[in-house]
Amino acid sequence: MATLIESIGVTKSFGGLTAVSRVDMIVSRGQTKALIGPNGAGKSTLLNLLTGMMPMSSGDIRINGCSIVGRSCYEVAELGVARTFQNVQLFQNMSVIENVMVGCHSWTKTGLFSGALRLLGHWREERDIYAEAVERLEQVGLMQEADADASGLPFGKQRMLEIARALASRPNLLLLDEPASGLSTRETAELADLLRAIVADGMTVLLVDHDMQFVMDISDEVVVLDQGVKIAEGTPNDIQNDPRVIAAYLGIEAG
Amino acid sequence: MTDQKLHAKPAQRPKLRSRFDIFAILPFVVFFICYLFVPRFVQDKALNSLIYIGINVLLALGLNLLMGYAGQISLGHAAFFGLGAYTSAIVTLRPIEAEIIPSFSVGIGVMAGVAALMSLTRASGWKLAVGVALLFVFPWISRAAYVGLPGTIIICAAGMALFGLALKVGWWRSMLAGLINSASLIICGRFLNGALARSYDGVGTSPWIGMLAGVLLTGLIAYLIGAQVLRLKGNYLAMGTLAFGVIVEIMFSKWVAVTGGSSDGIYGIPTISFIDGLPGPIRRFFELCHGGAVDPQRQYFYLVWLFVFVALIFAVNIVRSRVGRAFRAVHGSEQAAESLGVDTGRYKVQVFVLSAALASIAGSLHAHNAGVGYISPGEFNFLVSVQLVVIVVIGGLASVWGALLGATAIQLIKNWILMLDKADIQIYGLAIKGLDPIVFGGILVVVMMLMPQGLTRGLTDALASVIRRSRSSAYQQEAS
Amino acid sequence: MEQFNQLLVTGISNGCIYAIVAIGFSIIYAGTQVINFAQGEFVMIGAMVAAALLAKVSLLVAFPVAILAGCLVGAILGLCVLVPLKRAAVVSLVIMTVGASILIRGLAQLFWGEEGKNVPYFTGVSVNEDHTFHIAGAIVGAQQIWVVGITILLVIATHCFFKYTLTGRAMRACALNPTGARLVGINVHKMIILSFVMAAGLGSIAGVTVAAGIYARCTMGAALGLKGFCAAVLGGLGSYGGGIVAGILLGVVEALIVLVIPSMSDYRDAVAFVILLLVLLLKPEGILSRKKAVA
Repeated sequence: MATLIESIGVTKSFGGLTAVSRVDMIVSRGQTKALIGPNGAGKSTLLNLLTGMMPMSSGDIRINGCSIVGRSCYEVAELGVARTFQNVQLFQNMSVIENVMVGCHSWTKTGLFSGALRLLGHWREERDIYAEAVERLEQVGLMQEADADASGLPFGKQRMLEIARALASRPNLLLLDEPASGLSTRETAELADLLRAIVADGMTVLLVDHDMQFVMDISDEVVVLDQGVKIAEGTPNDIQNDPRVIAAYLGIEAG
Repeated sequence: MTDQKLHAKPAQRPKLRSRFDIFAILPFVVFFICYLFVPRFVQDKALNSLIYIGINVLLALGLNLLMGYAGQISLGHAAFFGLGAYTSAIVTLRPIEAEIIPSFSVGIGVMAGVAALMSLTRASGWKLAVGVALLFVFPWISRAAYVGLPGTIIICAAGMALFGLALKVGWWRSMLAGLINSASLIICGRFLNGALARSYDGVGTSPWIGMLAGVLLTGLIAYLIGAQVLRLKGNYLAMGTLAFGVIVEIMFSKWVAVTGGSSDGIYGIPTISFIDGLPGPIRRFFELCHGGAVDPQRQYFYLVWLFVFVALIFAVNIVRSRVGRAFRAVHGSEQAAESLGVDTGRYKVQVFVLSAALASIAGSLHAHNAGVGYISPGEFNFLVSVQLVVIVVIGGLASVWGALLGATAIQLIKNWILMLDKADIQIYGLAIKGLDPIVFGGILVVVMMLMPQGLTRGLTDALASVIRRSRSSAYQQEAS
Repeated sequence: MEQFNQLLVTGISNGCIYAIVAIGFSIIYAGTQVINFAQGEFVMIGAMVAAALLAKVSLLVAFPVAILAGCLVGAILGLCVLVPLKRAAVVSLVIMTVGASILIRGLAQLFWGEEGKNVPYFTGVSVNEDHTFHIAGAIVGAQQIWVVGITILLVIATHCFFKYTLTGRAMRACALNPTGARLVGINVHKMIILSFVMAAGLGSIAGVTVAAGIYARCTMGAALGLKGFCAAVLGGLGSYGGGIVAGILLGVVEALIVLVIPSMSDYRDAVAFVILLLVLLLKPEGILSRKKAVA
């Protein structure tokens, strides 16, 4: 399988604290990879580094062979990386469908003036955006709420909406930061179904979560971080039996 | 897929509002018909108020895009209003004194150069400061050395290229900034010289050119200021814009040579004879609607509200376009917007410049108002900035048509206050005068205390919740 | 050199007022994360009430009454801010305090009129009597010594309040962690009101003191408020020490700029704002503060 993301010796330190330390990781196209680890292991920080939300201290991340060093977040998004957030970050001031329509931003290009004048190109593009948004909303089962205020949705649906919004940007890679946290068992199952369907369509998914059953259920490969260091990588089966991983989770010194 | 998912599939899809959606266009049609016939049936005094309402609507539309949609507060918006008014008035009217030309054109040149430097190169911090200083120095050297125009261009370009090489900020981009610097300096000088010759001939410049100059200058200043100030958030942004507003206001009242200072101001600004300037058939159409020749004040009404009409269409379109959604996304969550590929910095500056340009047009219209033709710094002070915020707050943050409502409400209140002032009422020996700050301040405090979303939005929300409650209670009764 | 000393004296005494206003900003900001745009109006209230009262009663009566009036206005404003504090965005709160600021100014104008009021010096019989000292070639007015002295006193008092009294410590706790403070039984709302009252009290003391040097006007609050804010930002919002140093620095720079660039005298008022803009843009966490700002 072709490599989609390659992280080489990625390190991030905040003052004296090293949150992520020399992590090497490869995510291949069409793969579902999970990033797990105890609290404070640096999973969310690694996601933030992968999306360019904060600069790396050292190391390199290549997406499709293109280094993201020195690129800001929106430029990384243009490379085809979409993400969701641990604490759901919807545009509270917009309707459900408008939220998804913002997701289409990176592959459209209408500017201020053609938008203000409603030129022909703008019109065509708006139709595409709308079609995409409807498709994504149907995919996550939120079409009935399309015109509702995003802030009024129940929490589980807000998570789904955030995924729909990310998908609308037609990414190569979808990063999910704790997508199952705060969801009921049924909602988690729905989410797993959705992710499987997305991956079946050729999407690559990298997710962080604490729900082990969910993670082991859907991922092809799992990477375990502990205190910023990668301590294990392998199939869910290998990971579940890896003594270092068990030690990290139970807090026993390995070896 | 579970059964759940299949059930969730809706029977009908909501339709995308078509371009020819009658309900979207209807308000504009009604608006345009009113526009054509109002001057015919309205008295002079009310018409005057309507002109001011129109100007305020333009201001509020711009500020609302910035504050209501993009969520960036500006407490110095009167500065852009004033910059538009002053530039327009000065360009139209003032015989430009020969001494002003060099310094003015150097100023314009430097500003263009700085804009180029900032947008083209990666210079920042002290490197940027050095670059800006050099943009001042090179034209000055070439002037002092009498090297002529080609020499000026060469010195500016070569000097900036050296700067770019030495500080590693991209030499050819810096050179381009130097070229833009010298070129705009020369063009501006030429233009001013031409205008000078015209004003000596007693011709003066067309107000339209004044308006255009106002928009360009204000837009440029807004770009320079906005690119820096908009990195701030919340409280800091409010204070930053406020400080900018105060600085500009001080400049209006103290730079007497150009602005006439606080006592004199600028007077005798010519009005724009809008209808007279139109091509024959259109002019006759207006005259037909109006039922005869149109007097200057009514011509001005037509002009102002034409701008309002166009601005309304633009605003409605922008809000529902890709860029408008990006503005609102910036308001909702900058982080999430960035993660979806929205260049938040760029869009913030864009909306800032857009609203400044609208304010500048409003300023020009204010300056050329028929039968007034006078501006002074007091018309662009902090209270005016606050008043604009009041209009936006009354009209509702994030509501285009609310601007109309807010501006009208404010004008009515102002008329009422003026009436009170004239009536000379005394309560317990207290002369009731100058109530503007009390009323405006009171509105802001009360509305923000009870409905932080703005009055219109707050009221509709309250209404909606009342309806919802009565419905649900009706439902409960039915159920029981 | 004499001119320099003279300007220095003016600068320091002006700067003291900015410093007090800056402390007020910081107190309220620490408690609520709100920048109180009405801070300058507290100064004006103090000055105007004192000016109005001094026509009839002595300073010993007028001073405390003016402070009480300021505190009252502060308490009311604090109550108003409390209502939307939890649910409103920063923008709404900013708009609200701006509204409060012009509301207070408007009311003051209604009651006391537009024109300035003469306020006698604290010591000395009337405004005209020349109560001055000569220090290093500079003429130092008695009032300027009052200003500096009162500032020092207030700074010490504020410091002691926050360091040694239970209430002061409770206020600091609220600023650091409101939830934690609530858990240990501190009434956070009361503390917020108290911070407004304190800021208003400080402001009105500054107002009474400064009014004697200049005419007391209803419009004096805006500029003082902004300059005080400038000092607060310069020193790092929430840092009392920084605000004081920055306030005095600002006063001195503003006075001395005339010496460096004589043609700037017309634009003297703009200096503070230019500095404010520069500080906001270059180093929003404040020049004198090592903390990272949450800009």
